[in-house]
Amino acid sequence: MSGRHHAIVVGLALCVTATVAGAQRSRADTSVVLAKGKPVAQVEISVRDSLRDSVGVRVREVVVGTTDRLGRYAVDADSGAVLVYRLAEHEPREIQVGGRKVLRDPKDSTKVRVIPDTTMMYRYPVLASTGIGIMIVSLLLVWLGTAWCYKRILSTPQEERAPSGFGP
Amino acid sequence: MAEHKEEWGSRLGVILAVAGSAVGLGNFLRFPGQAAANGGGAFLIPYFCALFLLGIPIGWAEWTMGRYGGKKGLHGAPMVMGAVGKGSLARYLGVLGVLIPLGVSTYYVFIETWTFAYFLKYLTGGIGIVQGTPITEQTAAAGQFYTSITGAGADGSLFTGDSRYTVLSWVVVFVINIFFVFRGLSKGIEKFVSFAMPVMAVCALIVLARVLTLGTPNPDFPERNVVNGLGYMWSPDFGALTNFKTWLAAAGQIFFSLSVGFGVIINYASYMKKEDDVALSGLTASATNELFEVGFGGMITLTAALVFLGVSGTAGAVATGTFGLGFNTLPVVFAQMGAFENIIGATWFFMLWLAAITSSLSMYAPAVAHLKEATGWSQLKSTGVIALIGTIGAILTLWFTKGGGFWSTVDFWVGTYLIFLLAMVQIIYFGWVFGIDRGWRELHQGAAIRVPSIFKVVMKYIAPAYLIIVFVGFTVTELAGELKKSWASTGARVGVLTILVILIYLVVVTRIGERRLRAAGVDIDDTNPIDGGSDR
Repeated sequence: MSGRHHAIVVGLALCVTATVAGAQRSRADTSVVLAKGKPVAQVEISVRDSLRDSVGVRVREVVVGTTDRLGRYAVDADSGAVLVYRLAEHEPREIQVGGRKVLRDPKDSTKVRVIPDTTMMYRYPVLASTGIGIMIVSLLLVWLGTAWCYKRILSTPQEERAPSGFGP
Repeated sequence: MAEHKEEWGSRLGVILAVAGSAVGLGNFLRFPGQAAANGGGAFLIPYFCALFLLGIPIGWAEWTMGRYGGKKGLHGAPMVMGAVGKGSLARYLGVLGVLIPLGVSTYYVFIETWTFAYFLKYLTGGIGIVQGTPITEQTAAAGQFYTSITGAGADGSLFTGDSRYTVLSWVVVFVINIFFVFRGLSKGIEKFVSFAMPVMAVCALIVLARVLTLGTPNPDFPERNVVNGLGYMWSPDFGALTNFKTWLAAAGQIFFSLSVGFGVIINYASYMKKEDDVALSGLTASATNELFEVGFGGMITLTAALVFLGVSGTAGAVATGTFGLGFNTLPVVFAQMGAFENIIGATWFFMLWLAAITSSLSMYAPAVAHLKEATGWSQLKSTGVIALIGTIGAILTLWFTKGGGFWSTVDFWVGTYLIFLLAMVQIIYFGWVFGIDRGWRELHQGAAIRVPSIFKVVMKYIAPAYLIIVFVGFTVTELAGELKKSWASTGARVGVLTILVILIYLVVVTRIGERRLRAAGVDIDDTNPIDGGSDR
């Protein structure tokens, strides 16, 4: 192995470190982390567009329920308040909205807090710009990559062979 | 040696055969579930890292080792590994390259049978879901059909009442498999995959077109639309990247999806000619697999589920795992498509069946090749013995169905754990025993492309290190629980016993082969390397 190859290995290691560090910073800035625990409810809530835009939340549905998945989320109470939960040390509060159990802070709709005993799954069903970007890049990679490979294969001359095998 | 020299009819044939082996149910069902549960679009970052640092390099190593073994007239994974690793240790480790596909085939054909049975049912009127009834009732009907087809309720239930349908379907599917395996490479497997792969792509395109044109089918739930469905799969949660399990899941998905560490590629590549390209062929087979996985699997399954079932329904479906999503949830989704239900259902399950059979064909071929090579038996006799082993394994699978005790145990040990182990063995032997410079030269002999030299570093250092980390992580997180499960039921215990019996049989066959080939003067330890053997 040459010195150049060792340099490449070190470079790759630095890239991985930077990626992980970047992801951690992203999580600290914007994510909500919910502790593992028992499910409390299962709901679907829509966030009105105007409210969503005002707080920069792109969430239309939230599932509270069956997994220990961690992540950011936001909910829309019937009152119109939008809650954005982030890392903090506060207790959760459960309320009923339209007969469904929802977690919210009635005093401050944008208060930052954590829900320690809740298992919650969030999902951004809206195809946000980052998601579109990842989807397009991934699809281009696999479609164009495959097309390039087959073009090269089919354009390379190859000797014809009689089929071998058993039976007629 | 075999009485009949086999080889591929065309370069495209071997590529499609390897791609067909790789493309299976996991591409359409496991991948989207794994992605959704591990960061959505963000999952694609560790996924593509694993593809370029693990999947493709190990694949290239397998293609190269296989063709090298073929040059010496060796075709079974044990003998090829023995030549590459220069001795008996590598040869007996190479037994895993036959044990894995043969062990997996015992239950994989059973699952393949489900897809075939679903396909036939959709073709003849559906699986019993009544359109217009509440979703809970439809889900119950889908669950009832699933239980009757899989026999998940009780051991032996498949041999009673309506469930016999599964056994009959298995007979048909198994006979088709054995027929094409017996016919050999170019007249059997190659001919079948040359038809099946394009048809599978057309079926996937039909289903994809239908899913992407669903719009917003229920005005009462405007948020349940195609765009949001795509968002469910693709919108990223970058926080997941800090979780080791996400990286583990991505590496696992690449592994199980690409069929590396499976023993199939080595066997298939051994039938190539010495100047045939392996670099571009390996890359093309991997690319084809990714097309089906990301291009189709990532666009169809969860999008369709969310459009009809919403976030909670889709999340619940993902939580039920690959089979719950594919065989319980999607039939309910198809039932919401009105007049299209049976057409889309039949197309979907026919596509899954093609995906499954192109994989299962590749599971028998390495075992037949090893048997022929080691014992000198004919194609007919070797295929017959493998068919007998397959039948015994299938009877056990069909009987011990309660909770999937038998097949889930075999799946973990043979279809998951040993794959990691064999891949590690292969890449370490390739980079450190065969020699990376020698391997690099061998890879480029007759190559239609020049592989970037960074991959030399990847194949010698990064892939083995990455693999060891993944293997240790997998062992730490999964092994204790799986050990308990493997002794928890009769089916599971029989599964462990079956693996051991097959392993012993294959070791004995390998020992016989060693003696026989040495006596025949075959250079099974590569004492006279074709290329001189220098790693310079």
